Order: sequence, then structure tokens, then C-alpha cells
Amino acid sequence: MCAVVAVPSESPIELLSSLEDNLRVFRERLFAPDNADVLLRRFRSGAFESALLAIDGMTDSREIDENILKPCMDLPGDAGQDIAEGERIAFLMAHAVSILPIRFKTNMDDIIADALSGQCVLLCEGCSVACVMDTRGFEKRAVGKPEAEQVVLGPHESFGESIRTNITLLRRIVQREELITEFISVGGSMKTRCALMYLRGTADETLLSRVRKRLLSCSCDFAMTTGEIEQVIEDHPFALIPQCVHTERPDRAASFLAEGQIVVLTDGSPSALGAPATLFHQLHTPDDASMRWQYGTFLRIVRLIGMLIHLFLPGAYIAVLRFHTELLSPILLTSVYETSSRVPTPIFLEALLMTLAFDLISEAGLRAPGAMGNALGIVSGLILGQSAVSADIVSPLLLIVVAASGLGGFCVPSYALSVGMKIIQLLFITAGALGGLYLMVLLGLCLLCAACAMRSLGSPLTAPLTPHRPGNPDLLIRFPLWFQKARGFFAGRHA
Amino acid sequence: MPDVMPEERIRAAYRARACAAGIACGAQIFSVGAGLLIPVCLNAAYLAALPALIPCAIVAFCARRRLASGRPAGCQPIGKALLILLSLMLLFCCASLLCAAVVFTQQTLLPQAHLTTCLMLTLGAAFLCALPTGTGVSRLAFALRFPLPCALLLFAALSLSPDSPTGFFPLLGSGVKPLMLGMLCGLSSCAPALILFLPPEELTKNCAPPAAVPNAGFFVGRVLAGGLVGVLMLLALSLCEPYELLSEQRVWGMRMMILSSSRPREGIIQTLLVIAQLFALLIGAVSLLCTAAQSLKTAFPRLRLSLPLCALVLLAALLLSAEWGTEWGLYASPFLLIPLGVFLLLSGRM
Repeated sequence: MCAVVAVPSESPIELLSSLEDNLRVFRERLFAPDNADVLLRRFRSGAFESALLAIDGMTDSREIDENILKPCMDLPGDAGQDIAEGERIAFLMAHAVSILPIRFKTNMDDIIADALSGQCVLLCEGCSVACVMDTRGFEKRAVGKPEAEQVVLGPHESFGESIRTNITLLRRIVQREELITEFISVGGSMKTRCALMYLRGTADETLLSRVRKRLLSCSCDFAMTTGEIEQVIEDHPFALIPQCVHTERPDRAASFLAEGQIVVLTDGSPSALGAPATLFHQLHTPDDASMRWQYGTFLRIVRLIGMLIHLFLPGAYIAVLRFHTELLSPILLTSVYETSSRVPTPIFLEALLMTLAFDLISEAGLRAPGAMGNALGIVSGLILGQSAVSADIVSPLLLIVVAASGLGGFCVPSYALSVGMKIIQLLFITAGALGGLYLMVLLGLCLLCAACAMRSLGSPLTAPLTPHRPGNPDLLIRFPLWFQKARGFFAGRHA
Repeated sequence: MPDVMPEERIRAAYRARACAAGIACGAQIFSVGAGLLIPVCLNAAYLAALPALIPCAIVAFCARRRLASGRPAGCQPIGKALLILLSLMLLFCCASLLCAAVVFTQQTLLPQAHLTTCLMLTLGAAFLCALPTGTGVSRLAFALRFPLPCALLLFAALSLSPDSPTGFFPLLGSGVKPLMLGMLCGLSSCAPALILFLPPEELTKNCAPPAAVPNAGFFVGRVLAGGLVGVLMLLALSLCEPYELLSEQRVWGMRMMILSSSRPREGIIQTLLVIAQLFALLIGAVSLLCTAAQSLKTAFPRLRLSLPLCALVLLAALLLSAEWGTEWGLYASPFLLIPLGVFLLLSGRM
């Protein structure tokens, strides 16, 4: 089922009954003939004239030729002469056009937006209603493997850039009549088509209306990707923790739907946005569910330890060396001071530079094309690190600390969260250097209080841990499947 | 779909608030115990602190009865006066806990730090924690309701040595009379439980129906559990430190530290214990600050700057502490029983 929610235009122009006038308006609005992509084709369809509006390259021209133009032009010359002028378009739909998805529209803005999205528009002389037909046929990438969310077990299918294909991928998994797709155009001058998908009866209506309201009231000129849509709907724009969850896997998006979350897809984005989300959505991976509960739990604990090392280890290292040297054995302390004494920079600066260098290597490896990225990581990590130690620019212990911390950072399943955690790590390094463990405790308390007070679309971000909400035992420890009898966490109850 | 959850949501909010009260009570019992009771009762300080659990339970019971009545607070002038009194008592406890955290830090983590700097940093952090809403700290207290006491007790247990049981003796510390005096002084440690008198912040906009307020056992249980951890930590102090040494320790912050040997392995455990203790003290202080601001806001609904106002009062109190010594709050704390009693007596008219 597809419902259409159109963004109200400030000055809506309705279609006129004169075909010539309508075409003139379209020519003006679309800058034809300067804009060579605009196709405006006038033709005779029985006893009256019609016209077709489409954008070249966005439509399937074979489908237009065979199913619209040819049948209309093949109509006998007297066909439709007894039909009232306003009924002509319906006559063509009934007797000539053989395309399934059609919609009748009267608003110029809507019609132009549809034409720009690859649909073709049929207009008739004397008729103030246009028929919009889905004849999209642009080139698109085939369904591929997920790049950022690879799993050992489980499906290896990822979303692409075509919103239609993405919806189909989701529908193939969630074959339920309650699965609803709503289309919303978001943005000012450059509108982006978004699909709001949810399970009626499972997703909370309050949450749903909240998302609709936020999307429709988006004041930015354009929001093209799910990342930008996330910024439109999130509750705390200044927070370091993401409040929605991204996925490029249709199976994961389907699990969001089952949990009562709303999935937002945008045309041109190869990922889906799940909202609202809890902090635990950012920490879980699709692998956890595919594996036996013991393995899933073990891997979660490993990831959690990795994240804690990533966040606290560099800060704690600096704090211990600057303020709490009594925690180290005299032998280790002597060794540390011996190596540090040859390093020209203070330990805080040294750690900061090393952490930034690690982020630099990681970012460069990510941006460098294909196999070169891996090579870059190895070259930078091994050769530069070794050289820096040999040249006494950094101490070897700090190198170990930064490397272990960086490794822990790669355990974070959500890329958005991992970037947030890198920033928090830098804050902890600064706190450790300025005030030792005490300032780290204060900072940790502030961050924890802020995280506990945060909301995602009005739902507590740290639920169901705190505040307590009854649900499946699947937070840190993943209990066996037969314990998980409760419906989805957001299933119409936690707004 | 019928909305079946509000009651559970309200229950969760009360549960979080009760956990915050429990942690605050435990922290207050520990800090007052280490500061005031150890010099008087020596190794029997934990016995002297034990009776404080009774007023804790009474306060929690009265608070539940007040909440279940469903009457909005602060409608009458006397109600407003009581709310201001409540706010002041909570601020006093908050200042006391912040001082405890700072002096403890000065004796353990940052011996070279300047007292005023430490106090200001701590107050700033407490203010930042309370700034979004008071909900955050309550929820944090709920999340840590098992991990924090477990960590405290585990690290304290790991610090014990085989000859620790000798710390039990003499059983009554410095005698019966000092023990009685200590018990009397420790009774006021129940004051942080007063935060239960106000409904959780997230429910104040949409007032919860009285039926949804959890039963008295729930409130009393949470507060007693928190308080008991404070008492057990005092017991750990007595067991870890030689009896003779306790009487020698002149500094409040030093008395809060559970001594262990100088081996690095034990030093790490001790540092972890100190961090857990600091967490408990700070969570207690922030909960008290948030509730003090909420109380003021309830008394004067048009007052927008209740939290900054409370922070200013705290700032003044901490600056005075930096000038005159941090123990003033400690010595004044037994007298808190008087306003506390008045408040409890009149709480029905709040």
C-alpha cells in the first residue's frame, strides 16, 4: 500500500483545461527548450490532442513507447469524441494506456516533482487533470554486499541507491499486510523523496506522527541522504552520541520494523535509518542474532571491553604517568621514564599527536581506493610507528597504548558512534592530562548523566536498561531465543 | 493499541528516584561515619551508623504516604515554606557530600591539588550533570544499582588481609557512651532520603495518579539497601585499618580511605575502590542538587533559574568551606535532625 503525503506548496498552481497553456507553464518552469533533458511530446490520441512530459534518461523509453504512446496513437480518429473533456484522461487510461502504477494529479508542483523523479505525465486537451505514471528506468547499481556491516553468518545483501529497489528488498523479508510505505518529500528547493516504512499496529502512532512532523517541517534547502535526514529528526543535535541507527542491511532494517521502529529510506542513499533507537542498537551487530546465544554474548563482551579500552586507556595512561605513578611498579616506572626522557614533547602532546596520527591513518586508509587502503594502513602503521620509536619521537609504551586503543575503536559496530567515541576519547585524554583520574571521573559522570537523560524521538536512549522497561533479555548478555518472547521494544508502548 | 505502559513508566521513574535516594543515603552515612563517628567511636563506627537506617526507613515511609495522597505540593504558604526548608536541607547534604568527595580526592588521587580549585571543579561537574534534567542522574543511579555496590564491596573485600578480623575488636570501640553519642550524631545521615518527598521530575508535568506510586516496602527497601552499603563500607574501614591508627587519623579525607599495602597490585584495587567511592559520593550529591532545585521550582513555579540559584548557594557554601575548613558541615550535620523532625511532622501539610 502506498500513501502519498505531498508537501504543501506556498503558491500551488492548478492545472488548466487548455493543453497549450499547461505546456507553456511546464516549458517555463522546466526551462525548455534550453533544458535539453525535458521531453514534451504532443500527439493525437483519437479525437483529441494529448501530450507527454518526461525527463530524458530517467524514464524507460521502451515502456513509454509500447505502453503509452503507441496505444494512444493507434486509437481510431473518432475515439473519445463523445467523451466529456474532463473525462478524456480517464478514457485513455481505460482504453489505451497499459501501465499499472498511475496517479491523477492536478497540482503543477507535484506533477513537476514527479516528472523530475523519473515518472512520465500524460495530459489531455480540455482536461485539468494529469495522469502520472511510474515509468522510471534509470541505470542503477545491482544489489551488492554490505561494505560496513559485514557478517560471518547471515545474509550478504545490502541496500542500493534506488529507493524502489530498497523498498522491494525490505518487502521481500517482511511479507506482512501491515507493512506501510509512506512517501514524503523533504527539503526546500531540492526535494528528496523519502520512504517512511513501518508496521501498522506495531509502530507507535505518536512516534510516527513525530517523525512525519519533523520531516515535513524541515527548513533546510536540501537533505539528500539518510545522514542528513537523521539530523532533521534527532532530538539532541549537539550530542556526541547518535540517536538513530543506520544500516545498509535489509535484514537488519526488517528487524527494526519488527521491533516497532520506523525505517526511513531516501532516494539515492544506500542505507536505511532506524528511529527511534536505543544505545544498545548501536552496540549490537546482526551477527549476534545469527549465532548461538553463548557466542553472541561472548562477542558482545569482547566488543564492550574493546570500547572501554578505546575510551579510557590513553586518558588513564596519561593520568597515571602524570599524577598516579604509585600505581606502577618501580621497574616499569623506571622503564617508562627512561624512554619518555628521550622524547622531546610532553606526554599529553605526545599522546594527542599519536591519537590524531592513528585517526589520520585510519581515515586515509578509508578514503584510499581499494587494496591501496590496506597497504596504506600497513605502511603507515608499521613503518612510521617503528621509525617514530627509533627516532625517539614517541615512547614505545605509548605506541602500544594508542594501538590497543585504536584496535578497541574498531570494535564499535556503528561508524557514527565510533566517531563520537573518538571525540570522547580526546576529551578523556585532556581530562587525564589536566586533572588525572579525578577529572576523568568527573567527565565520565557528566557524560553518563547526559546519556541517561537523552531521548531518541522522545524515547529514552538508555532504555530498557535505565529507565527499566520490560523486554527481551538481549542487552549485553543475549539469552537463548526461547526467553525472548516479548514483542518489539518500541511496539506501540514506549513513546 | 491500548496503552498499557504508563503505570510501568511511572514505576520505573519512581524506582530510579528511589535508587538515587539509596545511593545518596549510603554516601551520606559513609561520609558522616568516616568524618564524625570514627573519631568518636573508633572501629565501632559502623555500629554507630547502623541506627541511621531506622530514620531512613521512616523518611521513606512518610515520603511514600505523602506521594500516595496525590495532593500537589506547595499550594499553601506553609507548603511553600516546607519546600524551601526541604531545598535547604538537601543543599546542606549536597554541600557536605561535595566536600567529602573533594577532601577524599585530596587525600587519594590529587594530593597536590588546591582545595578551592578542586571544589570549584566538582561543583561545576555537579552543575553540568544536573543541567539537562534531574532525570539523568536518577537513571544513572538505577543503572548502577547493582554494579556500584558490588564494585564497592568487592574492592573493599579484596583490600582485606587475613588478619582483618582483629579490626572487630574492641567490639564497642572506645566504649558504650561514645557509641551512644555516635549513634545520636549519625541519625541525621538519613536526610538524603528526603528527596523521595518529591515525585520524579519527568512525572511532574503529567502528575502520576496515586495508585501508580509503588508501595512503601519498595521505597524503604531501596533506601535501606543503599544505606546498608554505606554501613558495610564503614565496617570495611574498621577491618582494614588498624585500630590504633584510626585514632591517629586527623584528616577527614584520610579516614575515608581503605588502607592497603603499597604493592602496585593492591594500589590498583585501591584506586578502583576510590573511584567507585567517588562515583557514589558524586551521584549522591548531584541527586540532592537536582531535587533541591526541583523543590524550589515546585514552591515557586515561575522561578526559571532554580538550578543556578541552588548552585550559587552551593558555591557560597563551598567557598566558605575553602576558607574556614571543610568539616563545618560535618559538625553541623547532627543538628539537621531538628529541621528534619519539623519537616516530617508537618509534611502532611506540604
